Amino acid sequence: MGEWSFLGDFLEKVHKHSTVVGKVWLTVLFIFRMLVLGTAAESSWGDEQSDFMCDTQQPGCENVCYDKAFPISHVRFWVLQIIFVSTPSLVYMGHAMHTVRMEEKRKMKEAEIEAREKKNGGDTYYQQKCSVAEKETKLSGWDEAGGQIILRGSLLNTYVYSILIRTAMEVAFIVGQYILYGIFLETLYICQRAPCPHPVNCYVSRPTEKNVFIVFMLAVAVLSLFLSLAELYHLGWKKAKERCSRSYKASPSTAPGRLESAPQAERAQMYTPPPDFNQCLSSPNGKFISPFSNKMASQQNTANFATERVHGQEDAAGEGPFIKSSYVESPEVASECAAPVFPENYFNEKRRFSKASRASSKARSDDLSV
Amino acid sequence: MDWGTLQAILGGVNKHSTSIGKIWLTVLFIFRIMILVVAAERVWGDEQQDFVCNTLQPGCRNVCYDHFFPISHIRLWALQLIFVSTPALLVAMHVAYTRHEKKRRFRNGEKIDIEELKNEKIHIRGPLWWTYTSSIFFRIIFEAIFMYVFYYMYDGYQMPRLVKCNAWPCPNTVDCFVSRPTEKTTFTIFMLAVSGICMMLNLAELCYLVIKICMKESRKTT
Repeated sequence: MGEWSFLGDFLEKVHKHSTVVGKVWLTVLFIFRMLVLGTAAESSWGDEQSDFMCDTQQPGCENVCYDKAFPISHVRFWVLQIIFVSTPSLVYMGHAMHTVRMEEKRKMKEAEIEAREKKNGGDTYYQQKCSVAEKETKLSGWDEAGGQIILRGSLLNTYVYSILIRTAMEVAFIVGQYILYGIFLETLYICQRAPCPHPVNCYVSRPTEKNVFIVFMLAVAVLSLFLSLAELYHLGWKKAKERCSRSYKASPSTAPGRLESAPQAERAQMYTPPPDFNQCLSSPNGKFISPFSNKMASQQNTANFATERVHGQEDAAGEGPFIKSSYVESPEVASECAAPVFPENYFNEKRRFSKASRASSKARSDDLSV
Repeated sequence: MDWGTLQAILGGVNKHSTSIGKIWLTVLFIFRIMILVVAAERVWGDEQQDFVCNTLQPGCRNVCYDHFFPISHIRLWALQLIFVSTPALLVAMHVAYTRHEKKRRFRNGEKIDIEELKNEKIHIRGPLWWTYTSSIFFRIIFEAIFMYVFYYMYDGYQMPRLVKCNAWPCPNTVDCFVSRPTEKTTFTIFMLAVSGICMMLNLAELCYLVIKICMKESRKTT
């Protein structure tokens, strides 16, 4: 299974920046496809040619009949399927990494502006910072609060296209498998090809065991297809909901930054924040957790499920970005400008939370009463 | 074959590459090395055992196999991957040397950009630009050479099903049958396509670097 670690390492990175359904899809890919292929299916197909017997003494007849019966072995076909189905996620990850880099550059620029302004005198500081921050945050898909990527704008488009291409690949490979082999393998294959002197009976090795694995891999492919479609539906539905709630919001937002931030602060305290995004930038040789230590993944999933439940209640408000990969709602940028002091404290408090900290609903001294 | 060592070494180079360089590295690892290890080695695994000749003459099969497959596809691809990855090591060595020099100058008391040293982010400028560009150039050359060697050695990229062999000690022209020719052709064409893609990426990176340096020069003069 070490052979799959090349792909496994890349996909671990993708795992961090996917939606919940995306994470489930990746787990299905790792466990039910890669692991099963590497351990069980390989050994089942191991002797496929050596035990392919033809009822003839003619030298070369077995070779050509095997070649005609299996133009490409099932195992190799599934390897190609897994690789092609994973490739769109890698493209999305490339875009996400690019977003991170842009965000880092933006932070550096902001720091430079800050330093320059401090030299010149601080009157125009907040105005400039607000306008720059507002523009850049809207363009980038970066959430200051949670340190996670928000699926928005071009990044969301990339994500949706990657799922669409993934779906198309799955369908193509499932159809391809059906065209090449049908669904089940027959025990007997009748072959007529030079140099075989006449139609010859050839017998496939372990047909029943192979059929079990073929059906299993087909079922997992259909499940993956279903998960991809569910993810598309989930994204599309959220977008439609967002559009509807935006169209109903007739009056502009009157709530000042402070009042809005307080319930958000409470909400922030109700769930464990996801792990810091900067983890993905730290490793020197690019290696990450092995694909099969899913403890962090399950912790992340628990956090995500918790946040999703919370956000199911507050989605009616229709504010903030419509899809969040880590489901941390970012405060309105306007509020950041209007009340600069409070949000910064809010961010600092959030960053002190550890992954495993249990949320406390105790009232704190600096909570605002609403 | 243990490709993990190569991955460890090239992973370090990844930090100092352009975006196209990073894409190239990903394509190399996933579409070439992984396919080679996971799929292609199995396909070619029984290539000599199941190379069957229509003769009872002992030794004829061995000689015919050796005549038609002087070096197996798998070994050629392994060599190709090693040669194509090697220029990146030049870049890694240059970066290590540059960093060593900076540390030495810093210790001697000269003013150095500490931030850059700390961040380990070295920009592709000056002599490093020349090293990097020549490494890409050599990569392209090696890819082209190996693609040609494949074409020359095996008369094209298709694996024949039947080969006629006349080498001694075969008594006459003997029919020999290659094992899994269709599957081998599929993977040969796949690896060829990915080599082509890698070559395109390298050419794009080369153009990008040259254009960038030209624009910088023109900005300096204006």
